Amino acid sequence: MSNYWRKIGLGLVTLLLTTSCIVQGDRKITNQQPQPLQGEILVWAEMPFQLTEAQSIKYQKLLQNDIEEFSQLYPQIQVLLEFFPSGQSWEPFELQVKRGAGPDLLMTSSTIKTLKLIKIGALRSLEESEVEESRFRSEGLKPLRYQGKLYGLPMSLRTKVLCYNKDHVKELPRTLAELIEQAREGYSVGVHSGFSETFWGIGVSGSQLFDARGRLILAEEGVWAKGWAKWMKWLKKADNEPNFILSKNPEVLQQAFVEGKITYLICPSDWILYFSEALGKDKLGATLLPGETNQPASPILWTAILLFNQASSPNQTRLALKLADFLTNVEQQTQAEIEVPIIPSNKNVTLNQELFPIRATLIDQAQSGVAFSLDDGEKLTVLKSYGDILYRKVLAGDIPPDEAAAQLTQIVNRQFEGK
Amino acid sequence: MMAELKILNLNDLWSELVKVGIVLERPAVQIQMLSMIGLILLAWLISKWIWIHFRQSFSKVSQFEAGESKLSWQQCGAALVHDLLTPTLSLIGISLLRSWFEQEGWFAGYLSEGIKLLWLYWFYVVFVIFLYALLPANTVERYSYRFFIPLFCLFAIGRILSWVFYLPELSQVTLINLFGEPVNLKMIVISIAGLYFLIVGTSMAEQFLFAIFLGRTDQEADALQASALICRYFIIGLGIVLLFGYLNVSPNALAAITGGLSVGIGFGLKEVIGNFVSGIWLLFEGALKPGDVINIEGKMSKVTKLGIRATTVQVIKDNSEEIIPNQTFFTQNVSTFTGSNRLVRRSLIVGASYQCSPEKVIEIILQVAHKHPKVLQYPTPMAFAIGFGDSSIDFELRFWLDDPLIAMSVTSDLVCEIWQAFADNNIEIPYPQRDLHLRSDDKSSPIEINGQF
Repeated sequence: MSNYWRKIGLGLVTLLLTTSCIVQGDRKITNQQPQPLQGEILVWAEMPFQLTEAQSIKYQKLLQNDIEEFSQLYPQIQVLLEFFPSGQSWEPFELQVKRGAGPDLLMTSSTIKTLKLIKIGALRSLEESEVEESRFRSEGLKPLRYQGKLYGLPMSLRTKVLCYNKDHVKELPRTLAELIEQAREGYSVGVHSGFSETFWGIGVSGSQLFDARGRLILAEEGVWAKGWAKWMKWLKKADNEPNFILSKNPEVLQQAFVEGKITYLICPSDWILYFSEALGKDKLGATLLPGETNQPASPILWTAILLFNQASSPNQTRLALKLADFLTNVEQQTQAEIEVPIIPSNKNVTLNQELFPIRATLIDQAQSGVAFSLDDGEKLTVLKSYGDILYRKVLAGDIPPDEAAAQLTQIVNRQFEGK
Repeated sequence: MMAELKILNLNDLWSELVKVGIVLERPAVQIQMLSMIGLILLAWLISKWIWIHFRQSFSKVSQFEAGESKLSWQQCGAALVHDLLTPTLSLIGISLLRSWFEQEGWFAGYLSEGIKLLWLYWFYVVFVIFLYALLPANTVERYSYRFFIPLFCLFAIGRILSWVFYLPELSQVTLINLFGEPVNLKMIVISIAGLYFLIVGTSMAEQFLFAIFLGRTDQEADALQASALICRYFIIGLGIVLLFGYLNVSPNALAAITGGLSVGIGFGLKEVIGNFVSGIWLLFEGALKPGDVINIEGKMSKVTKLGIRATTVQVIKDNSEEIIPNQTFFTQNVSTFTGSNRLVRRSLIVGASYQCSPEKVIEIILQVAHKHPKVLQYPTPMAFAIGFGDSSIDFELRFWLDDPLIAMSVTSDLVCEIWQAFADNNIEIPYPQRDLHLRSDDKSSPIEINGQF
C-alpha cells in the first residue's frame, strides 16, 4: 500500500475513533464539578392560538422582556428566542427535531405536538431531582405526564370565564337559566361555538369524561354522554333565543363585544387583555361561567408548557432548565400575571383579589376546570374531531342530541378498543 | 421563525451562526455527522480498491475518453461501477447505521437526510451514464458541466444548508430595498439560478431536439433550426416573465428600472438594440434561416447561424465566415436563392457550326442535360437557338437545380459533356473566323488573305 493510502486510512480510523467516543443519549447532568452557567441555547415559542396582531406583538414583547431579564441575571448565557405561529405547519419543525436540531426549550400549548414529540423520542423526561414539583399546580402538571413520566414544566394555565361590560350589566347571571332569562330581557349573550369551545357546559350536568380506566364512558351506562346530550339540548334551545349568539368566528364575537353589541361573552383568558385595552380596565368585568347549584361549569384548562429537547447537550439542558426555573419562579410569574391575565403555574404566587379581580376570577374558575393528561391526548383528538361533526349536526337539527352522544362514545371507544 | 420583513444585518447573520453552533454542539448531531462522513470516506476507499482491481481485469472497457462517439454498453457498465460504487456502499453503510440508531432510539434524522441525498446522487449518476450511452461523450460532458452538475450542486448545497439553517426564514432576509421593494435572498438566488438554467436549459433542449429531428427529416432541416431558435427565445422570454411573476417583482420597480435604463440604452447601446430588434424581426418574419444561400455585398454566402444580434454567413468563394449585424439585412438589398424555394435556374451558351442542323444540336444539348443527375427534370431543361453569330449559330441551354451551391460544378459538367457529345456527333464548335481583305493602292490588283484567329 502506498504512503498516500496509508495516510488516508490512518485519518479515517482516527475519525471513526473520535466518533465512537461521542456518547449519544447521555442524559445525566453531572454535578461532580459545578461548571459556570454559560453557553447558548435556542428557544422556540409557539404563539397562542387566535391572537390578534396587536396581541401577538404584546405577547412577543413580554416574552422577550423575560428573556432579557434572564440574560441580565446570567450574562454568560445567550438565549436565542424564536416565535412560530400556532397555525403554521408543524412538519418542518418536527423534521428539525427528528434530526437532533430544534430548540433546547420549546414553549407550546399543543397536546398533539407534545405527544408527537414524545413518540419520536425527541423530548427529555425530567428526573425528580431536576424539578421541584411541589411548587406547581397539580392541574398544570397533569398535561405533562405521559406513561408515568413528566415531560416538561407548566408555564401558565388558561381557561374560560364570562366576560361582561360593567356599564351594561346590573346583576350577574349565576346559572344557565339566569343567563337565558337575561337574554330574554335584552342582554345579548355571545358564545364561541364548537365542541371543545362549549365543553365548559358539560360539567354543569355533573358529567365526567373518562372512567377510572381512562375509557370514555359509554352512552348506555355513563353520565358523561347523557350530560353532553343534555348540554346540547340546552344549547339548541338557547340558539333559538333572539339575543343568544352562537358563532364559530371568534373575531366577530370579539368585535361585537368591544362595540357593545354583546353584553356577555364566554371568553378565553387570552382575549381579556385585548378587551381591557379596548373597553378600558374599569369597564371590563369577568365572572365565573354560569352553572347549576353545586355543579359549576367545567372549562378545559389549557396549559402553556416548557418542553426539553432530548438531543440537547448536558450543558444546554442545564441552561434550559435554569431558564425554565426562572420563568416559573414566583417573581416572574407574579410579574407575568400582572401584565397578562393568566393563571400562574406556580401555586405560591399570590395576588390581591381586590386589586386584580379578573385574575382572581380566572383562578377561581380554574378550580372547576378540566385538565387532561397526555395519556388521554389521542382520545381527546379523536373525540374533538368527531365531536365537532356531531355538534354541527345536532345544532342543524340533523340528528337528536341523545343519538349524537351515543354515536360519539361508540366511535371513540371503538377506535381505542384494546389499546 | 415568524415571517417578518427584516433587513440583513450582522446580528441576524451572527444569530444564524450561533444557531448552527448550538445544533453542532449536540452529541446527537455530532455522531450523525461524523459517522456519515466516516462511512462515506470508507466507502470511497473501498470503491477505489475495487476499481483498481476492476481496471486490471477489464482494462479495455475501463478507458473513457470524451470524443465524438458514444460509450459502448460495456463502457457504460464500467462507468456505472466506477461512479456508483462509492454512493452504493455509502448508502448501505448509512442505512445500516440508521437502522441501528433507530433501534436504539437515537436521533437519526441527519442520517435519513444523507440517505435521501445519496439516493439522489445515485439516480443522477445513472441518468448521466444513460446519456453517455445515447449521445456522443463530448456532448454529454458539455451538458453535464453546463447544466446537470450545477443543477445537482445547487440542489445538494440547498439541502445541506437546510440541515443547519432554517432556509424558509433565511431566504426571507432582505438584502436591499430597491425602489421601496424588498429584495430578499430567495429572490436573488432564484433569479440568478433561474435565468442561468432557463437560458442554458433551453439552449440544450434546442440542440437535443434538433439532433433528434435532424436525423429523421432530411427536408426543411434549416427551417426546423429557425423554428427551434424562435421557440427557444419564446421560452426564454416566457420564462423570464414567469420568473418575475413568481418572484412577485413589482411592476412599478420594473417600470422604474426599465424606464431609467431605456434612456442610457437608447444612447449607448443604440446599435446593439437595433441589431437585437432586427434579429427578433428576422426570426419572426422568417425571411432568413440557417442554410439559406444569399447574395450580400456582392458575395454569395450561406447562412450558417442566425443569432439574436448578428448572423454568421459562410462566403462560398473563399470559405471565410462573416459575422453580419442583423441590422444590415434591413438596410441593404439582399438577394436570396432559397427564399420561397431552393430552385435556381442557370443557363449555358454554346455555338455550333453553320454546317450542322440546329434541331440536331438542340436535341443533343437536351439529351446531355437530361442525363445529368443533378439537373432537375422538372422544370424541364430547355434549349434554344438564340442567334446567328459571326462564326456559329448560338444555342442556349436553360436548366434548373435545387441547390445554388452546385451551379458551378454542374455547369462545368455540362460543358464537358456537350463538348463530348458534339465530338461524337461530328458537330463542330467553330473558332471565330475573320476574312481580311488587304487592298493595295492599285485598285485593279487586290491581295486577298484568308486567315483564322
